Parts: sequence; C-alpha cells; structure tokens
Amino acid sequence: MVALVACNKFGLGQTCCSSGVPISNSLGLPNQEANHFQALFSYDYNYLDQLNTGTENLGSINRRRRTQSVLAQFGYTFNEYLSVEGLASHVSQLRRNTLNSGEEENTKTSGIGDIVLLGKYNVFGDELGKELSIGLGAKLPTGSADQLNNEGRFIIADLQPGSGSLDGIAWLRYSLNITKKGSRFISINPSYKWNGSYDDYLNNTATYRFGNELQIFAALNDQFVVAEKLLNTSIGVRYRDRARDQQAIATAEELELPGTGGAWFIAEPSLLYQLNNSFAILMNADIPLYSDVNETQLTPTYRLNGGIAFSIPTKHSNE
Amino acid sequence: MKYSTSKFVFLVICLVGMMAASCSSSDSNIATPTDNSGNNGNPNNPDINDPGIDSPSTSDWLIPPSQVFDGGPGVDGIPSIDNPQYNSVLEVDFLEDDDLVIGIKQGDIIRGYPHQILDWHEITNSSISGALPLDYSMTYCPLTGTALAWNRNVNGQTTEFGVSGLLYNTNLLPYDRNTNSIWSQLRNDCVNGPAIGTEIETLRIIETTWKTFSTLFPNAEVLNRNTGFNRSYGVYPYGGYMTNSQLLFPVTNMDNRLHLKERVYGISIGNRATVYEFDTFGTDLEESIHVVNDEVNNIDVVVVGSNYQDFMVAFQRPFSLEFSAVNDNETVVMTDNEGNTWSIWGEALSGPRQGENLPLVNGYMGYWLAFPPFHSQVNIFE
Repeated sequence: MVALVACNKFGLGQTCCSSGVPISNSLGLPNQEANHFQALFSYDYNYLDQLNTGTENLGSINRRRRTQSVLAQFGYTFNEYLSVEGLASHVSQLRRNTLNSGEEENTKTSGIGDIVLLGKYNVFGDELGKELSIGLGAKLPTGSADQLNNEGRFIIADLQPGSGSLDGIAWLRYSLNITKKGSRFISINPSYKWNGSYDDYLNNTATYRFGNELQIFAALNDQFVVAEKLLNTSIGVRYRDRARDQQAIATAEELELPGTGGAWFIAEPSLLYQLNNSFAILMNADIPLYSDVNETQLTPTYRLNGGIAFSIPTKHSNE
Repeated sequence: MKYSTSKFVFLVICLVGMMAASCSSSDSNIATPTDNSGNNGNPNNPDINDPGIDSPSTSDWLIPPSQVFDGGPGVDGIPSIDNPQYNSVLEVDFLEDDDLVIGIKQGDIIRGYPHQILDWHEITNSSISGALPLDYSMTYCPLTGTALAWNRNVNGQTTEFGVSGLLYNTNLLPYDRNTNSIWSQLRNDCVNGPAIGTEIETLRIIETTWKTFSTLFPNAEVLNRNTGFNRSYGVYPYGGYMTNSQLLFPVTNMDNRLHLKERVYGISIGNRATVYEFDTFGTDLEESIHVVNDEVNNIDVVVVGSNYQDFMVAFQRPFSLEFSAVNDNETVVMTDNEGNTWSIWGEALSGPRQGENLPLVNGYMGYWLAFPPFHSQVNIFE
C-alpha cells in the first residue's frame, strides 16, 4: 500500500540565490513492507520574486527566478529494517529580468540534475503507528554545473542544473499515532546536508561550495475517505537553516558570499489521494511564513508540486 | 460518513493552504514603485511563462570575453536611478560624518551622491539644466570602489546607462540603452556592441566624507533616498567585502603590494598608473592639505589631498606649473608658482589664470585591487 505517511514529504529544496540546485531536501519515501518497490514521479514548480533583506521584505522586483523540475524517486524495501532509495531529476532554471525598456532578458539552463542516494534503517515500528527510521546518503555530482549562455559565458552556480559537488546527507524520521484507533499522527523529519566543493567553477578559476543545510519538518497528518478512497492530508512546517555559500578565487581562501544563506519557516500542506493499494496521486505546496536571510537576496515566493506514486510488491508478502 | 469537527477543520486547512500557494502572485503587499524611467513595460507583474527574449549573441569584444563574468543579478537586476531626487545639505539626515559621498560640479551646481545609495544602484542618470546643461551618469562599482562620472552625450545622442550585470576584472560593465552596447567603467570605452571602440568623456568629481563634503559645499544638492525603489540604504549589501582581502570574481592580475581593499587614488595614463595612498597626504590627526607635484607616464600631474579630510584629486600640470598647498582657506586648496589660487575642482579663483580650469587626468579613487588588472605597470607613490 502506498503508505499513509506518504504525505510526509516528497517536497523539494528551494532554488534561489540562497539555495542553489533544487534537490529533494526532504528525502524519505514511506516505509513499506519487505520486498516492495516504490516509485514517485512528480513535477515541481518553484518561483521566486521577492527581495528580502534580513527579515524585511522589500517587495517584488524586476528580477525573477523559476525552477521547473521533473523528478523520479525510486525505493526498494529489502526487509523490515533496510531500504534504499534514489532520486533523479531533470531541472530547468530561468532567470528573467524586465529591463527598463520593457523587454525581458532570459538566462536559462536545463539538464539532468544531481542524483541522490539514501540508505535507510527502520529502527522500530509498531502497530500503534510509532516509527523511527534513520538514513545516510549522498548526492552525486551527476548534473551539469558548467553550462554557458548563448554568448559562451559561464552561468552562475545557483542557476545550474547540478552543483558539481559530492555531498553527504543524514536523515531521520519519527512518527507517532496520536489517536488510539484513528488515523491522525504527527511526524518529525530532520535532515542535514554537508556540501562538498565544486572545483572547476568560473572556467576553472574558482571553487564553489553551497552552504550546509539543516532542515526540520514537522507535520500533522490525517486521513479521510473521499469517494470511497483514502485521502491523506498533512499540514506541516519546515524550518530550514542554510549557511552561506563559499567561493575561492584562484588560491585564495574560501570567502563566505554575501547574499547567500539564511533561515526560513515554510508552511507545507499536502494531499495524497490513494486510488488503490498501489497507486496514488499527490500534491503539495510551500508557503513561506518567515525568513531571515543574509544581506539581501531573492527569496522563495511559492512552490507547487504534484505527482503520482506507485508501490508494487516484488514477491508474495504475508499480508 | 460523518467526520469530527477537528477532522473537518484539518481538511479545510490543507485545502486552503494548497489554494493559497496556487494563487500566489508576484505582486507584493508592499507598494512597489513604478519603474522610475516611466517606460512602457510592466515590471511589477510580468508573466514569467511568456517566452521573452534570449540574450542576443554578440561577437566582437575589446576585452577577452572569457574574462567577462555574470555577476548574478542580470541586466538591470541592479536598477539604475533614472529620476534622481535631491535634498539640500541642510535637509540631509541620513548620512553620518564618515559616510562617503561623490561630488560633481557643473557651473554653480554641486551635487553629492552617497555611497550608501550607489551601493544598491551603481548608476544614476542625471541632468543639470540652465546655463551649462549637462546630462551625465554617476557610475559606481562597489566591488572595485571606483566612481566615475560619464557624459551621457555619446556620438551626438543622449543615452542612459544601466547595469548590465556583467563584470570584467570584477569591475562594473554598464550598458547604454540606445544601442545595448557594453562599456567598461575603468577603461572608459565601449567594449562590445554597435558603439564598440567609442570613448566616453569623463567629468571631474571628488570623493570624500559627508563631513568634508557638507563643510566644503553647504549649498550643494544631495541625492536622497526617494529613488523609486525599496532598498535598505545605510546597510552595506556585500557583508565583509569592503574590508576583507578576498575577491568575488577573478581578476587577471592579483597584486598584493597593498591590501586589496585599501582605498587609494590612482592616475591612469595609457597602460600605466600611479597610485597615491592617504598616508602621503598627512596623518589622520592632522587636518592640513598636502600637494604632490608628480609625473605619470610623461604627463605632469598635481595631486592635492588630505588624509584627515579624506580626499584626493588630481589634475594635469600645464606649463610646468609647480603647486603648493594652501590651508586655512575655505575655498582655496593650492597655489602655484605664477601666483594663481586654485579650488578643489581645479578652478583658478584668482591670479593670471583666473577662470581657467586645470585639464583633467583620468584619476579616481578605488580599491587597490582595481588598478593592477587594468595596467601593465602600476607604481605606488612614495
């Protein structure tokens, strides 16, 4: 069955001047029974046009960013303890400026994004809906990070589909059913990403490192029956704290870049509609609640995500 | 099936949240000023899903295109000020004594442009009307700390300059809105586009502190914060960049003889330059003005400055004039061997040459890092 906790997170990281490459910052396909294969295909639309300085919003400006991603997540559960999952993406990024003349100037990139692999261990799970899983993973630099514009000019790091760096991920999820016989449960999902360095930045004249990132996602989940099928709903809040990006020119020491990094609180409603035991459709969104960015930068305005999820047993299970 | 009240409320919250995100628009709750050039675009709510236009391909560059970098914001991503508003010196209440201001003089009109505003816009397109009309752009690059004023009359037509978002040797590359050509601030010429090779006329300016500027020019006009944009003026947008020893973009020649961010005055003639440090012009406790009679690339120059008052300006020394400093005079900063007295703008206030102006040199304040990449030889005056 596509799990009840599926709403818990298929969301993506924010792209922007303060975020870099869009990846699945909140990995974790739902726990399944042994010998189950899962797949999730989704489309993500991320839009930024608000200029913030610290906690102050300066309004929309003539510069906007948009990231569109098609994501494919796959997971396999070996047994009651171990599972693995991976995520691949195709990312299209756009920076659009409206000039004084009224014309618009575009800078675009598109291509395969970085691949993420995550191994999970189910520490415990019981019939009362209490579960704890931990995971370790890596983001591989499979996406292009050196695309040029149509004038042959290097495009900046956070407009590239890939990051050019090998990163490490630590992940945990805890959920607890808060009603004895009901379907309501709470979940908390912290994760941390350590970012490596991209050493061929700016035509091999610099290195670039996106800021390390802590995310904590807490949600309240519940189920309803709609048209005789289960509708899983979730209301969550994500806290995201990202360090400044770092860059080194030539042999100089790494410099923490102004206008990168910060902290955000984001509301995330989610809906997952289970069409049958193996197939579900889902939607979720990000609504920024609060931000405290370093210096001045574009900050996420909203994000929408929709997809379909599959869960298929590969062997006869003891259902 | 009946639901409990709490379930119903929970479902409504989820649905409303999804709808709220879907309906979010690019309009801000804060009144966003209209584009201050009054053009016919609608910069406040463009449809990002329109195809728009791609940046046109260009071919010829007077600088290596591989050394031109995208700074991040894109064209007009840092908006120029195209309808500047001014206050009198007495009305200014947002500047501290140590805040830097760039001054320009045309006829009897003196204007000041605070760094704290130019840090956010880099270019101001201004005009002076009256007996000596002038259309000019005050350009300022926060990454090189360099300010130059350009005559906006180019090839017989008045243009406006905007921020292209591109950098060469970490220095601003403006673009002109008549031809979309790319210009180099520190080369003072057009390096790409229909106007390629055109040289720009630079105007005499002075950079100093607000305390010195307001004392010397109490009747000046000062660019105010009514720029048409909502920005955190007074907050430096580049973190610790002004004082650290690091670069944000590559330069072709890193020279560590001085701290990269030391503010110096440089005279650029041909492919050579000489820079002058503030220490040359007294100590920071001594208020007096000092003068240096020098030669740069076979051109006689005079540099007048004060460490305490935080200014350095330079002019050509025609007719082998020799200058000496004048102190304790509100309007005269130097005199010469002919008996002329001269203002800080290089105007002869009295003497045989009264009314004449010393010819300009290509001199400007900037961080030390700005000079080596643009010159094959840079001397440090000692």
